[in-house]
Amino acid sequence: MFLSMVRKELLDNVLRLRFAVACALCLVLVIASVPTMLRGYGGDLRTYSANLTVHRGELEDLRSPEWVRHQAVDRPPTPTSVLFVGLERYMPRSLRVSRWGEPATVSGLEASPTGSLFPVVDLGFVVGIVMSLVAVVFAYDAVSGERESGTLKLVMSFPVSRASVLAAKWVGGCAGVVLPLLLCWVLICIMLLVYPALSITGLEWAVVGLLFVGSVLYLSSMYTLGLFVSAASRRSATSVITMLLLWAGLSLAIPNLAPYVASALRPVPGAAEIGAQKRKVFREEIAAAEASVAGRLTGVTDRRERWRLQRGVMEAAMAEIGRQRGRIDESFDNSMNSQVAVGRAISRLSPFACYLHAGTALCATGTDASARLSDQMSGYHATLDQWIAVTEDDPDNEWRREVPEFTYRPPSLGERLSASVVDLGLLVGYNAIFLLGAGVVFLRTELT
Amino acid sequence: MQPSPVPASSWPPACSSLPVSGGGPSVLWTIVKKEMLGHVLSYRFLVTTLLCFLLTLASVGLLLLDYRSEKENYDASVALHERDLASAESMTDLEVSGIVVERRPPPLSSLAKGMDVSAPRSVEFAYRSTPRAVGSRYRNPLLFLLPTPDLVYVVEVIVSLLAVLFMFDAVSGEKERGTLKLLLSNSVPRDLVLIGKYVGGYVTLLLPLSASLAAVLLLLHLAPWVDMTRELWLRTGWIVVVSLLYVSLFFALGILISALTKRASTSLIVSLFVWVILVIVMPNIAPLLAAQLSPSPSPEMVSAEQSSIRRDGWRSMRGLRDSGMSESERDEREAEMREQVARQQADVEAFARSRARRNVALARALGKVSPAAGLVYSATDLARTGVAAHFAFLEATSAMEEDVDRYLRGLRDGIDDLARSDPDLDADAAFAEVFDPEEAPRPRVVGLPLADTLRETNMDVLLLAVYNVLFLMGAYVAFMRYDAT
Repeated sequence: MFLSMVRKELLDNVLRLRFAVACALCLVLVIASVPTMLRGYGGDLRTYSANLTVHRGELEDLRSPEWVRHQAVDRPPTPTSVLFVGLERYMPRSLRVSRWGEPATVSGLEASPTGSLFPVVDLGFVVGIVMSLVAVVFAYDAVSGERESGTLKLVMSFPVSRASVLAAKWVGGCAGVVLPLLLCWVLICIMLLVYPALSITGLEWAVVGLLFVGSVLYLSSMYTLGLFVSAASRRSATSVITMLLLWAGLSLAIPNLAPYVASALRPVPGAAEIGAQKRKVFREEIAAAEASVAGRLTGVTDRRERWRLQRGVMEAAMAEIGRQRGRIDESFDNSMNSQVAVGRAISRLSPFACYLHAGTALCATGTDASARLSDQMSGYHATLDQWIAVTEDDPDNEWRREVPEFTYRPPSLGERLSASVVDLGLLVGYNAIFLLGAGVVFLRTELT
Repeated sequence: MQPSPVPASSWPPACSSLPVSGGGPSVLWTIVKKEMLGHVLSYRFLVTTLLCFLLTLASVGLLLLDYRSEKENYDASVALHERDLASAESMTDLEVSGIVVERRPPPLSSLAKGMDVSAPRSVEFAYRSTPRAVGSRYRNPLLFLLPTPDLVYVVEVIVSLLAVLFMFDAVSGEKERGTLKLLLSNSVPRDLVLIGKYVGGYVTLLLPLSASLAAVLLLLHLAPWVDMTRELWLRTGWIVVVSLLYVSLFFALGILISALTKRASTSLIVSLFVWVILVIVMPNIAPLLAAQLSPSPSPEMVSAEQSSIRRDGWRSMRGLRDSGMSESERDEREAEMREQVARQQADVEAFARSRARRNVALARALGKVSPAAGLVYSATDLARTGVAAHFAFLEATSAMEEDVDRYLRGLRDGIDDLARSDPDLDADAAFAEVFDPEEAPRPRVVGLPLADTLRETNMDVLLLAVYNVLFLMGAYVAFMRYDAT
C-alpha cells in the first residue's frame, strides 16, 4: 500500500506541466552555466601559468638571496569553483610580502565590472534558488490541494494510517524533486569529463558526490517546509502565497541581509583606524631606535663601526615593527572572524544559506579560503628564511636555480568535510523539524 | 497558518451595483473598487504589506548604517593621509609610502549598492609602480558571497514576485470561480474590466509600496550623516519612478499570462516560470554570455603583462650600464626607455579597459531582453554606483597616476636644481625647501552630471515603458478573445 501511495505521488508530480517546466529550466540553466564556468576556469588557469612564469622570471633579476623574501606566490584556480564559485573571484590569486612583512595582493584595479552587479549563475545558484522554487511549487498543494479536490478523504477511507500517507507524500514528492536534480548531475559529470583543461582527481569526484547529497538534503528540506505549510493551510491559494513568500524571505532576503546585520551588531575597526595604529607603532619604534642609536654611537668614531651599529638597531626596529603590525592585523582578524561568525549564524536561519556555506566549504571557495593562501605563504616564508640563512651569494648566481618553490595545497577532503559538517547537519535538522511539524499538523487536520 | 480572513462565500465582493448599460468612468470606478477591495481584504495583501515594509526598511536601514561606517572610515583615512603628507620629511617618504587616495563612498549606495560593494576603497600611487588597491583585506568576505540586499534588489526580486502573485489569477481565477461570467453578463466592455483589474491591482500594491518608499525617503532625510543635495533627491526620485515602472510591468505581465491560461494553477506555474526567466536567469546569464562572446583580459593578466614589460625595461637599462656610454648620454637613453616602458604599460591597460568597456556594452545590450537588468543598470547609474561610475573611477585613477608622476618628477628636478646651486645643502633640507603639502596632487572630483546619467539610462527606462505597453496590449488582445465560461 505504502509503495503504491509513493508511486501515486511520484506520478502525480511527474505527469504534470510543472515537472516538464522544471526539468527544462534546470537543464537549460546547467547547460548555460557549467560550460561558461569551465571556460572561465580555463582562462584562470592560463592566467595562473602566466603569473607563475612572470614571478619565476623575477628571480633572474635578484641580486642576492635575501631578496627572495619578496618573491610572489601564486594560487592556482580551484577546479571545484566551476560548481560553487563562492569567493573564488574575490580571493587573491597572487600574494607578495611587502616591505613591512605584510602580504599584499598583486593585481591592478581592473575588475570585471558586471561581476558585482549580477550574481554568477553557478550550480549553487541553480539548485539554491531555482530548484528550491521548483520544490516549493511541487509541495504547496500536496495536502491542501488534495483536501480541496476531495481525494484526501478518499485516500483516508482506505485502512492506512495518516503517518504513512504523509510519509508517502514526502518520499514521492522528494523523489519528484530529486529526479531533475539527478538529470543535472549526470549532465555535469559528462561536462566535467569532457572539458580538457580540467584534470579531475578522486577528490573532485568525491566533492561532486557530496554536493549531490547536500543538494538532496537542501531540496528535501524546502519540499518538507512546503508540505508543512500545505498541511497547515486550508486552501492551496493560501498555502502557495505563504510558501512563495517564505521562500523569498528564506532564499532571497535573510542570507543577503545577514552580513549587514552582523556588521551592525559586531562592528570592526575600519582600514583608517588600523592604518593609524600601524603608523603609531612605526613612529614610536623608529623614534626609540633613533634614540638608542644616538646613545650607542657616542664615542664610536670608526665609520664602518658606526654604520654597522646603526644598521643593526634599525633592522631590529623594523623586525619589531613587523611583529607589532602583525599583532594589530591579528587582532583585527579576530574581530572580523567574529563578525563573519555572527553573520553566518544569522544566515543559518535560512536553509539556502546552510546549503551555500556547505557547498562553498566543499568546493574550497568559502570564507575561510582566502586566509588559506596567506597562511601557506607564511609557512613558505619560514622555509625561505631557513634557505636564505644557509645559502651563500655566489658570483655566478647559481643560487637562483635552488630557490624553494611554492606549491599551493588545496584543502583535503577531510578538511572540506569538517568545514561543511555543521551546515549539512543543520540541513538534516531542518528536514527533521519541518517533517515533525508537518506530521503533527497533518495528524490533527480535518479532512473535509 | 491562518486561512483567508475573508470567507470563501463572500469572495470576491459582490459587484451588483454595475449599471445595466454603457460603460464609462463610473463603471470603471466600480470595477477598480471591486478589485481593490478584493485585494485589500485578501490574505496576500496582509503578508505582502508586512514583507514590503519589513524588507525595505531593514535593507535601507542596514545599508545606511553601512554607509555611515564607510563614510567615517573615509573621513578618517583622508585626514590620516593629509597628516602623512604634511609630515613628509624626505623624497623617500613620498616615493616609498606613496600617495594614497581614498574613494568617496557614494551617498545613494544605501539605495543601490551596485559595484560599490567590491570597488577598491583606497588606491596607492607609489613611485614607478602601477596604482594598487590597498586595504581590501579589511572587508567582510560574506558581503561578496551574495547580492547586496539594497532597495533596488528588493524591488527587482521581491516586489516583482509580489506583483506576479497579486495578478496570476486575475482572469483565470475568476473564470474558475465563475465570477468572470457573472461580471461579463453585465453590459460592461471587456477593455474596461481589464483596465479596472490592472489599475485596481496596481494601486493596491502601490499602497504598501509607496508607504515603504516614503519611509525610506524619510530615513534618508533624517540620517544626519547623509548630505542629500537637490541633485541627490532628483536621482532618488528618478530611482523611485523607474522602480514603479518596473513593478507595473509585472502587473501587466501577470494579467497577460492570466488571460492566456484557463486555470489558476497553470497561470501560477507559467507566471513563476516567466518571472524566474526574466528576473533570476536572464540578467545573470547575460554577463556570462558577454564574457564568452567578447572576452576581456583578467586584471591578473594585465598586471603580469605590465610587470614583464617593466622587467624587460630594467634589463635593457642595465645593459646600458655596461655599454660604456657617457653618463649624460646614458641618462638620456634611460629616460627614453622609462618613457617607453610607461607607454607600453599604459597601452596594455588601455587595451584591457577598452575590451572591458566592450564587454560591458555587450552585457548591457544582451541584458536588455530582461527588464530586471534594465532596472539594475539604470538604478545603479542613478545612484552613481554603476558601470559609468566604475569607468569614471578608473579614468580618474589614470589621471591621478599621471599627476602624481608629474608632481614627483617636478619635486625631484627642484631638489636637483637646489643641489646644483648649493652643493652643501643636504637632500632632506632641499626637500623641505621645495615641498609644499598643499601643492601635492589631489584626486579630481568625478563629476558624472545628472544629465549624462539620464542620457545613459533613458534607453533602459524607455524599454521598461515599452515592455509595459507591450504586455498590456498583449493582455488586451488575450482578454478580448478569452473564453469566460
